Amino acid sequence: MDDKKIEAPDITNVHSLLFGDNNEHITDAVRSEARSIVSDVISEAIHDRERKDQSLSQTIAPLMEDAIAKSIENNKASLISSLYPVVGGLVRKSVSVFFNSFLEKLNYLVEYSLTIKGLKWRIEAWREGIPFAQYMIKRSFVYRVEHVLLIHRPSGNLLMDVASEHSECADPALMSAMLTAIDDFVIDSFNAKDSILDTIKTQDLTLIIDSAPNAVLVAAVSGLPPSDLQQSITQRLEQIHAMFLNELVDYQGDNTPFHNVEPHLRSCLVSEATPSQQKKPVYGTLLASALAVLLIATFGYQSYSRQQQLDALTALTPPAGIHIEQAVWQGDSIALTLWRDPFSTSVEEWLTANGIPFEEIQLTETPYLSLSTEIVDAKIETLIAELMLTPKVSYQFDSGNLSLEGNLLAEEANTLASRLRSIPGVNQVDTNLLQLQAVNQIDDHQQRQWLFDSYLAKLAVANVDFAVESAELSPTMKGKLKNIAQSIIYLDKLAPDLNISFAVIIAGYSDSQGVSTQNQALSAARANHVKSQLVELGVRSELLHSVGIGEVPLAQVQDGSRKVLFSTMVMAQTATPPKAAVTKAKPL
Amino acid sequence: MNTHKLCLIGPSAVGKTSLIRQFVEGIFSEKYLTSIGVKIDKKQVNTELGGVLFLIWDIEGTDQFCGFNPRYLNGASAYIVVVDQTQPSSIDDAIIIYQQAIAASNADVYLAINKNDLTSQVSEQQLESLTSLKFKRVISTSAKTGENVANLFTEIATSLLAKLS
Repeated sequence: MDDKKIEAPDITNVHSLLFGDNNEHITDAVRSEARSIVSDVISEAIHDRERKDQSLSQTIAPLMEDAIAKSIENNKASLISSLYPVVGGLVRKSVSVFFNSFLEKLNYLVEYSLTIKGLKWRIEAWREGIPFAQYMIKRSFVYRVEHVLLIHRPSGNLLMDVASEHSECADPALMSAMLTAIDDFVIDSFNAKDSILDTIKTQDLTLIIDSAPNAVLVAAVSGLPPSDLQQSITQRLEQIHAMFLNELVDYQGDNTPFHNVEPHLRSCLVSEATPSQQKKPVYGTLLASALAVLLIATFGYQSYSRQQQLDALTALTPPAGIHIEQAVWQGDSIALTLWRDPFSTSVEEWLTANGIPFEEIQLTETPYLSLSTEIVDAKIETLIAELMLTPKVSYQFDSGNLSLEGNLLAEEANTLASRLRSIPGVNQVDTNLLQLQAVNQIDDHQQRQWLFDSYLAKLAVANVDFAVESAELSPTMKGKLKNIAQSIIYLDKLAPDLNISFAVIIAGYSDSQGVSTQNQALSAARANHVKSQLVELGVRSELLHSVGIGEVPLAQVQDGSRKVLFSTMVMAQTATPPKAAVTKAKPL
Repeated sequence: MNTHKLCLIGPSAVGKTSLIRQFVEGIFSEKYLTSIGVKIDKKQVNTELGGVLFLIWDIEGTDQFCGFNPRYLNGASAYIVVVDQTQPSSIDDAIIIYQQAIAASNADVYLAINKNDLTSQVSEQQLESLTSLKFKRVISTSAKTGENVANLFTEIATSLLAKLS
């Protein structure tokens, strides 16, 4: 007991000598190195304390608020100067982010909502019974990690989960528990010691599972996951497991400590877009689609319009004497091939009257002789008018039979019947109803006088047309000249009995184009040529007198001024002065 | 909110599934019970101490010839042994199941004596041997009337929250 009493003060003394009465030797020594010691561990200490009870942030937050408030109060200008360049940048960045996000959404909307591909995908999404956004993601990515789950392995409780945009998971907590149950079931079924599930495949998703002693990391991947994704998930789980080991071991159902895991899980949300998705310019697609639609619409409308025009043409009933062989579109016009009798209505007149523009028609016309009643009838009427017999003869035409009625000279009747029979479609000419008279058989003076006057009248309106700068007669004009010659011959036959002398003045004219002297010569040549032709046709040359009048300087009759007109001078062979002089005053 | 794994175990046809059918929200078909031997449902229970999210593992009924998979009890915060008071044999089976369960898990064990809306067929001796086991709580329930079902889950939630605090 005594030894102990002696030893106690000694120890106290030794303690006092070594550490000081109040341990001041130690505290002084530590204090002198305090800065260095604390600086070595301050970061880790702050981290550990914050993780332990979050008391550090709670303690510092009010101090920080006060410090900032005082700083602003004391020196606003300095703070404004410091913040000004930062705020400007922040605002610009914020606006830029907003517009980028806006444009991205617009692109998304344009590409997948208004395009044919977008419509097609919508229909396919509807058929598969999934939302369009989900279907679009499925088609747009080679693979995409849709959902990442961190599961407490022993209990199967979900600790934290993150999902990609537009991704859906019915209930991650239940999924985690069920996945753990399935894992337990598999382990038990195969007598495995540890988890043997590393991949679960469904039609659309692949679950990549990686297990650590206290945690399981599951990545739900759509598409075809790359081989290195499993390795990436494993590495991520190892990191999480190491960092949150204490929290995992001590887990009692509280998920709060695992909020900090979120960034780690988000880093697992990786994806790879399909190559076409990256290459295809969105606006190019839209423009190309719009152009294609426009072209199709234009082409469709043109085709429709052309077909309508063609249908309208083929639906028309052609007039008599026109037979359509073919009508098809060739290039920009309708190629119309038809047969047409020259006596029929002109094609242009017919189409225009029916509202079809003739400019769009490429016409190939082949002449033919129509036997239709209308055309034959028109030919008969024209022939009678040409022979200048219109008032003296009438006719009836029915089924190829032509019946003539009237009062004609025998020569006139013969000529008429002969010409009529040459018309295709006229099978028979009935002249029984014609009152025929030979010129030299007419004895009635008054009747002869009437006939003479009527031939004079015919001659007064007769004319012969010429081509430009020509004194030659066309075949048509030669035919016309035969009738004129016949009239003069009749006049010559009737004149002696009526004691009348007459002469025919053949006046040649020309238009006013060219040199006046040449026109004068041309008009004389025309008159002389007509005179010689009449002589050849049997007219006595003594009756004929040709004269060149020259040009007709009237603009309104220029095209009709190239002709020869006939005038007659008649004189009775008595003592009385000449009875009449019929002068042709109207050249047209 | 805390999340806890809660398991229901017991002999066949004692009413485990019925006990929770109208009490929980789930997405899985009961076919899972016969396929992998467990079906999981979810239920949030609010107590004076706060809320608890229960993930309730309904484990397929077992008998003397077929045990349950004790791995399903891993990480459970608590589990309930369910018996049918109209089937005396279920008591004997439950005792065996209890012994298997406590060997696999040290979580709190609750006993639910189900079908209390019907007359009990359990002998005093059976009841005595059953209640002598280390249940945290023994409660008489009816899946048909719902009596004490909600109370059972609330009590478990309260106990778990009290233990954490």
